[in-house]
Amino acid sequence: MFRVNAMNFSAPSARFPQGARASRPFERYAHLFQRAELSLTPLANMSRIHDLPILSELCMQSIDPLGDPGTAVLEDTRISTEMPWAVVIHDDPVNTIEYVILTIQRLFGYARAKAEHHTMEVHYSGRSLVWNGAKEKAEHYVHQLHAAQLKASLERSGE
Amino acid sequence: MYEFMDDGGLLLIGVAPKYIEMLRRLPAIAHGDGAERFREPDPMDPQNRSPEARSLRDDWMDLVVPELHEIFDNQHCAVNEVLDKAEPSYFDDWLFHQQKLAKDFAENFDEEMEGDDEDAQPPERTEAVDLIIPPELIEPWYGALNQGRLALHARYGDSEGEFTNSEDSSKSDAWNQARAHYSFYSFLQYPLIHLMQTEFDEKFLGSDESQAEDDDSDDDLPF
Repeated sequence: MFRVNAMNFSAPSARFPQGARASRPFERYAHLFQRAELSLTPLANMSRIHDLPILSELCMQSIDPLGDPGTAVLEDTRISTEMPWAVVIHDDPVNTIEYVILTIQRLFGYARAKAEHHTMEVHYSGRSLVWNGAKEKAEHYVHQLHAAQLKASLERSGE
Repeated sequence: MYEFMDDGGLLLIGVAPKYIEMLRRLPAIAHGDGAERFREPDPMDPQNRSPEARSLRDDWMDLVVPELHEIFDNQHCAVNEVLDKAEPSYFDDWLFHQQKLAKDFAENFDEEMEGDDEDAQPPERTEAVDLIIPPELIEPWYGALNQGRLALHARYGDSEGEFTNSEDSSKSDAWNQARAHYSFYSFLQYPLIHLMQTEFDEKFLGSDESQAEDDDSDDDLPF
């Protein structure tokens, strides 16, 4: 879960002026940050499922590691006041590894390496968080996974 | 025995009647004990008793589960559709004629040797059939077989997957019969998942890779 503390953010730095990288000052959304937890769901303007990496990766990309402390650079983001939902695949002794890999590839549009990573995580750890984001989309994915006869569930991210 | 067809379908050759019966039993198995494992899946952790989880579960049962049932039942229809079009096996026919030729040869040989042919058995047809699974039914077939395996494992297996082990005389007949079904369904799933993966790769990885492979193979030519 990506947690944001409003106090840590200030206006965009001169290094990344407004518009150059679609940066947005966090003050604009400061009133939303007063909530205990805030999720960033940078899914806007993503045209294809294939473009959707998991949320944690996007959040990592959206923080500029070289920028001034206290400055965040957001790209194509929208802010939700609700916690995102996670799609979790659970291990089961029947479905084969090949089938789980293929199903993840087909459903989420992930590259084979990433699908293999999640499948191995399911195999060895018993579960893998494969996607998180808006509730409706998460429900859709779990529905599809159930239709593929995989054991999957919805969770609040960070639970 | 199976063969991959050029159009992406699968040809099952010489399927014996007992295996046809196993396939015919798929709907009954998939609706029996253990079927709730996949027919009525829980959308959230079963331990979660929050009002939100309860509400989601109710919605799931009302809206999603009926749709899942329809998908799963259609998968059985796909299996029956192929079984209904089963043709007497070409391989079986070939085997029958080979046996007949062998018998004729043996009879002629016996006449020349002035022997008798009391022990000679007439050739018999095995009543095996050939099944053609067209490309569009590959995935429903995989799903139907998976339903059978999931239900059987929920009923007879254990969490370690011991169910896939070989026949066990200490277990009940029902267990051994279920294990035979489970193994046969697993065996059929291997070529099906191969075809599904191939179809996916061709569709989404495109022809660039195959072109690259062609280029590589040209480079490997010795002249």
